[in-house]
Amino acid sequence: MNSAILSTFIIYLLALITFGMAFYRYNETLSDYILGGRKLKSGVTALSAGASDMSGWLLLGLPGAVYAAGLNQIWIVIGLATGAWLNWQFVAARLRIYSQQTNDAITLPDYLESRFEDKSRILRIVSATVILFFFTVYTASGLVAGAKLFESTFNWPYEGALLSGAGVVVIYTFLGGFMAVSWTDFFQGILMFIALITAPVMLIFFYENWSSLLSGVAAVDPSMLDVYSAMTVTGVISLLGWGLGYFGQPHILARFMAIESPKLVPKAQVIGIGWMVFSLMGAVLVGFTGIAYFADAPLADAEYVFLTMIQELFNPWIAGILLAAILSAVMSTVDSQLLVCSSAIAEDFYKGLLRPSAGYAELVLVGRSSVIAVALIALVLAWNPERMVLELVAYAWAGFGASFGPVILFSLFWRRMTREGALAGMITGAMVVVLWNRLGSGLFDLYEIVPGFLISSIAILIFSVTAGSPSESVLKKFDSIGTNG
Amino acid sequence: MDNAALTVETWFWLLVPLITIFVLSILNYLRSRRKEA
Repeated sequence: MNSAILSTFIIYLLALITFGMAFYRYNETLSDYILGGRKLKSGVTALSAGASDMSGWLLLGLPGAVYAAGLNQIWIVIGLATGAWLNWQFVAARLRIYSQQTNDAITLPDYLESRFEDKSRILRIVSATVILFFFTVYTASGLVAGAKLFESTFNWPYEGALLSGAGVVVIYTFLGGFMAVSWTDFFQGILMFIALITAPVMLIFFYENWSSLLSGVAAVDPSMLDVYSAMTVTGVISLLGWGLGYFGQPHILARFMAIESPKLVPKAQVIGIGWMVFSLMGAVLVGFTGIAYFADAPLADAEYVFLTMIQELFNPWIAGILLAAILSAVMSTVDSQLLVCSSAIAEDFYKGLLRPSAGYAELVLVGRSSVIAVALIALVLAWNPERMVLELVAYAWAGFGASFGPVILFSLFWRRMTREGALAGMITGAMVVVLWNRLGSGLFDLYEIVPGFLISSIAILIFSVTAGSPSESVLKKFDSIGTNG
Repeated sequence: MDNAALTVETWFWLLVPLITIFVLSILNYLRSRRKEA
């Protein structure tokens, strides 16, 4: 490993910490710290939503899956892109308007409590608990991925790599809050995009033309060119089903709630979807070209396909930047998740339950301390390098998608929905995700999110209809949002 | 079938959904701008 890559890395990490320090003084209120005072412009909203969404999965997991199995993996790409598009199209603007009009809600539990005028606090407690549980695990998986990157690039011991990666993310999240996280996500999004486009383009030139690349892939295994190869109906539905997860991811929905005006949503949508579509194509191409490139010396771990390709193809200075992009992908997800956890503790538990009269300074302090507390628990979970990164990600993604997705959608669009319906939907969704795969095989091999989402929706319908009508003021608030939101 | 070629169906599933989604987003943006003007 050479000093050029290390220097690029260090400059990059220092820049991130500088960002945190630059935004330190802007955090006067908890709303500033958690949502940046709702001042995000379209470009930052779009790329930070994309970057915090995609995580290391985009640069390590997806290329790895295509490298190992071929083009039959594109179903997940189609599912995710469709889900993200629907989320921008139908959820973004309406959630932005609704969350501000319901007591200026700055977190999802906050929003749900105000939306249903729940005085019992039970919606807040249940939703904040779901958030803390799944995100601590999710964050741990991100820290493992980051540590593995440091470990493979610099040959550092795993524990040292884990601590360095976690340390940088915690420092800039702790200091800068939402604005620092969103702006670093924005630059990280650009870096990820450049990395994903340049590497496969270089390789296509390396093969001189497209058809010799295809021959190279076919020589390894012709079925890798077939989108249906070894795919069952359950398999295709499971991969497409990933798209359902978008409606319930708190770290992505937070970006929608923070945009300066709902009028900026269509522009943010174009930037966000454009970024996503081309990044996904790039990631598929990285894995695909990797099949031919590593034909003679197949990689032991498929997920290292992009890492290895970068180190072999590029000059060390460029390689350092591209490797920093992978680190970005991991960090931009971890930072957003830490911040949502911190908001669940400061806003939902501390202010909501313990000290409703707490002042701004006190809440920002609690929020900052929670970032450190959650990071420490995640570090403990991540300490064992044998942790399975991708399985945990899939599990947390399904957990949020099934417990919050239907609740958010119905709460935005169904006038007649009640507090009981919301509670039933969240609990059923989470339970189905936890239990589904333990029930057997066959149908139960389906990705948990699909049955979880369906059963949660049914629970919302049944419990809302049987629980009596929502109060007059809830209905009035719903009507005041209008149909254009 | 020539092994080295991607079938029409594969090309379809690879590109059509992604491009459609992108184009729909652009159309939505243009419509929102017209509405504002």
